[in-house]
Amino acid sequence: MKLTKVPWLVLVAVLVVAAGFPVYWMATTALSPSADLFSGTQSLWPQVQNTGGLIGSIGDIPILRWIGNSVFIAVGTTVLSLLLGAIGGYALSRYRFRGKGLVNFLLFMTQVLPEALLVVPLYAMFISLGLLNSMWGIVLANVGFALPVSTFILKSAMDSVPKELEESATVDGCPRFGSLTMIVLPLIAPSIAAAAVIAFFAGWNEFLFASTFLSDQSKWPISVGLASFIGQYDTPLASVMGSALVFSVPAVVFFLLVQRKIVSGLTAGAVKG
Amino acid sequence: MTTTVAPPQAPATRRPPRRRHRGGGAVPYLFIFPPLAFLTVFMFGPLVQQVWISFTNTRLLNPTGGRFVGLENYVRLFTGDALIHSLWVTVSYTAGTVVFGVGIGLVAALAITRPFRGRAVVRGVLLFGWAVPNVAASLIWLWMFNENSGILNRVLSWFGVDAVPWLTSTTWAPVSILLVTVWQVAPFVMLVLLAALQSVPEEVREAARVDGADALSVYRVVTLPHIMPTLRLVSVLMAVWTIRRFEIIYLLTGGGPLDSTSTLVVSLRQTAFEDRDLGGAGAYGVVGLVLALVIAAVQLVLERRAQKGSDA
Amino acid sequence: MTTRRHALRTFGAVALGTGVLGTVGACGSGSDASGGTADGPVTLVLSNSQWLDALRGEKLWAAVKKFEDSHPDITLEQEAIASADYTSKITTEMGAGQGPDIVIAQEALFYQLADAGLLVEVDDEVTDGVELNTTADNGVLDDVRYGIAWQRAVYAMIYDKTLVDRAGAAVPTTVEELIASAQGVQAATGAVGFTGRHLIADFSGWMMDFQNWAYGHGVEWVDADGELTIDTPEAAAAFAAFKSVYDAAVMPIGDDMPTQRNRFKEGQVGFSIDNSGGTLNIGNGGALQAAELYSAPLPFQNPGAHQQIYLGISTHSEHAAAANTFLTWLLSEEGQQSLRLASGPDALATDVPVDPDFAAANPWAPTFADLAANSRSTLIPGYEASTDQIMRPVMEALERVLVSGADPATELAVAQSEVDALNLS
Repeated sequence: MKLTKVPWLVLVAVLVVAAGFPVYWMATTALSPSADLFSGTQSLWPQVQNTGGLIGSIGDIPILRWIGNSVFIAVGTTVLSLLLGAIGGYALSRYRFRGKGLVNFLLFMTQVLPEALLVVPLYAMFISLGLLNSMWGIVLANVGFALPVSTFILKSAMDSVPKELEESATVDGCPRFGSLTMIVLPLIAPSIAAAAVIAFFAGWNEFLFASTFLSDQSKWPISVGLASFIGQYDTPLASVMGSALVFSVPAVVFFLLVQRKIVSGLTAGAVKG
Repeated sequence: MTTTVAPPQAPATRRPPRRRHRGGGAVPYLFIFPPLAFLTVFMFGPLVQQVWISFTNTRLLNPTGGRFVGLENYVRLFTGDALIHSLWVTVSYTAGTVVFGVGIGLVAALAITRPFRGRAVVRGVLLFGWAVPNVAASLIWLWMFNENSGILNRVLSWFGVDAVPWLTSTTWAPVSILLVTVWQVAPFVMLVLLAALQSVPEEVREAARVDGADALSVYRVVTLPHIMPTLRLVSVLMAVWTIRRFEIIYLLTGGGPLDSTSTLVVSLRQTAFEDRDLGGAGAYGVVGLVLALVIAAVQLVLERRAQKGSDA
Repeated sequence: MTTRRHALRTFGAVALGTGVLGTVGACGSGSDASGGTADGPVTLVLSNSQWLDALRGEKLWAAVKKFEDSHPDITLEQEAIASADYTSKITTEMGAGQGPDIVIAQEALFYQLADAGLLVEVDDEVTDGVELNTTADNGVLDDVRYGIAWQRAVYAMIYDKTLVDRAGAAVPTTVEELIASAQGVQAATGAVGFTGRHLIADFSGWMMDFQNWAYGHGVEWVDADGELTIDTPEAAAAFAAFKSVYDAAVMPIGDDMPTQRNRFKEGQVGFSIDNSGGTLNIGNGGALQAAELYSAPLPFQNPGAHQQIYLGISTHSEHAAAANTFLTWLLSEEGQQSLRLASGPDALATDVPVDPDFAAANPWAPTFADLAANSRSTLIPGYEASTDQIMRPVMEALERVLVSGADPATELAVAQSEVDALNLS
């Protein structure tokens, strides 16, 4: 019994190291003195005593503003794609109508579009809409990609909500939209959480649109700010890694907090109220 | 909100029971209109425009001055070696991502599907790759891959292995890009499969065990068929998303060396912004789109067939 | 009762929805304004990748900001773009009728913008009575002045004197000696022997750096009739020379330039070929003291190249008058002096002597000033606006030589045919 557990333990250990090491190394590099990095003497363990210096050097970077912008973009993307995704998902789940197949196809097609393909036409459109160099423009561009995912997740979750629940409400004279917000949505809360996480992360992570559309440095999200370190003179590697860590930690913590919800939310049948 | 354990009856991709409102007049259109209108304005409109641009000689320095040139961009694309090369890079990168991403994701999911002490922590760490944003991931991998001072070559040197040119040889660069990609996508696969695995009926598994089946055949006969639909879906998602992937390659190698990591999207970007040829870039995009749609269509056909099989 | 509550919920959701959309519109139109109104105070946007340099960015910005002291009605604003994205981003913006009022760009991009009609002629008053030096020459296209020089950074070979002395290595004057000395430093100190750009992902930087190797080996890229001649024995010699260093196991292959400069800064590199701007960076803020940083002529027979950055006024600027006012100020004694203090030893539009205190503290600086007398533009004469286009196949040929060991002459012949196909002659 004990013996059969050994390969399993080894496997889990290998997986944990492979998955976790880059993040560990990010922290270790952030805490290394510059002189050690290039002489092959970078410490294998985090030099925690350097935390103060790291915070000081990150202080030279407008990182708080970048994070604020990223939060704005990510929250905007989440809210808008959930709002639109909920009503779209409801229509797809509850009704049969002409053109439904086409709608499904169009939604799916967004998932295969390369962002890079849309950059130029979107750029031209944002000029005329006054959305260039605006964080709202980034939100709208992101929602284009996040909305179909939200719609699919919410639709399949709604599929598993018994229609009878709604019918009893309709008998009371409850209008359709009301039954969506009052009955269906609360029942699929886990799936909403899952969709929210995916949308939030898409907004938090996005780089191409933000780096093309935002020329004003004060509007950069942290993805663009960090990428500006690549190929630029003179930013100490430790501060770059420190900033990368600051960029990653909220996402990682967020995922850890909601991972159960994602698992159950992605299982469309997971509606036990 | 008590959703700790998913009920067994409905894995993600099984068809929902038919209990829809049969038609509702204008109502469904009212519901579907806002999201569809949004997508039309912000995705399909620009897409149509870009497809149109692929038939013109539009330049980045004069984006409104393009003239219709028919199939010229496509002819140029299909007569040179560049397209074949980047199609090959894209297809092998996609295949690699699906095989290793789904494979490792499945192994990870199976390894931690049953409760053990510290499972939450392990599961959390296994999610890191997915949770770290692309740009941050590129920065740390760039440093780890550094030939002179990176930790990977340092570890190899402890075992007397020569330094590996992770990002600078045509042999290794695609491997390194694939490595980072798998690190990023396998956690997502794991997460989705964990959900599917939770819904495998324990009684059936138990019954198989009582019948004397060993662990591997229980897996083959009971578990695998049950999660097959999810596995198929997640594979297609991986494939389709991989065709779109951009940041990791762009920031790690920029498509080099010698274009060995130049996927369709990277070629598209280079054509648009470095050669400033929007028409040619549009043609690359359309090719990529067709490739993705072919993959999607194959999935659709497979799923139909599988459904028919299960209905029969 | 229930119904009403439902109705309220519905209303709330709808209001939330439209509220969000409403804000979209409001924010969108509000954030569009990039400048002041015609008769009010004016805002000028200046784009530059240098604004992002941790060391020089602030100093350079403070230098131009002095302009506001004497022109309270004009406010300067920066558009900072990472150098890797600078060309593509400026091209996208200006092609679409957007972008900064004043572009601060490398020569190659500057020419392309002027050639595409995206820059306006600089007012005569800007240069009236100003003693411009040779940096001004390339600002003129078809007899029209589209720009004035911001900085010119000449190339030289630099070395860490501590390491070189410790290894007892000689300061090289040929490529063979460079390899020998770099290997010497590497063996004696464990530091890296030599650094230099070598990645196609950094095309524009590598192209400019490589022109030193090309010019140094006598390459012209054009023949006496002005025809593009890529496939020459001189070019093959330049390729072979670069390849011999690349293969000598003295370079940190795969490092981008900032990483290589950081290495140098930490006292971990023996030799490098860099321009004065990069060298200024290396001498500041790291373990390597500026007093230990030395320079020497390039280890080639012929003189090398310089990077040249120009300021130009965008066709799309609504404040061309204010922009000309700014350029006038920049060429004034006050402006040039202000820029000098932030520019190390770079040549400026007029001959402003290097600050004596700076020269005393930086032993590497004088050599750069001497080399500037004979250095050349990285652009191909007669093909300034298409140099990027011509050099891409050339650099790709060089990449094939380096990475897959292809034969220089063969690859240059391929590049020649690719360049011929561009139909530029």
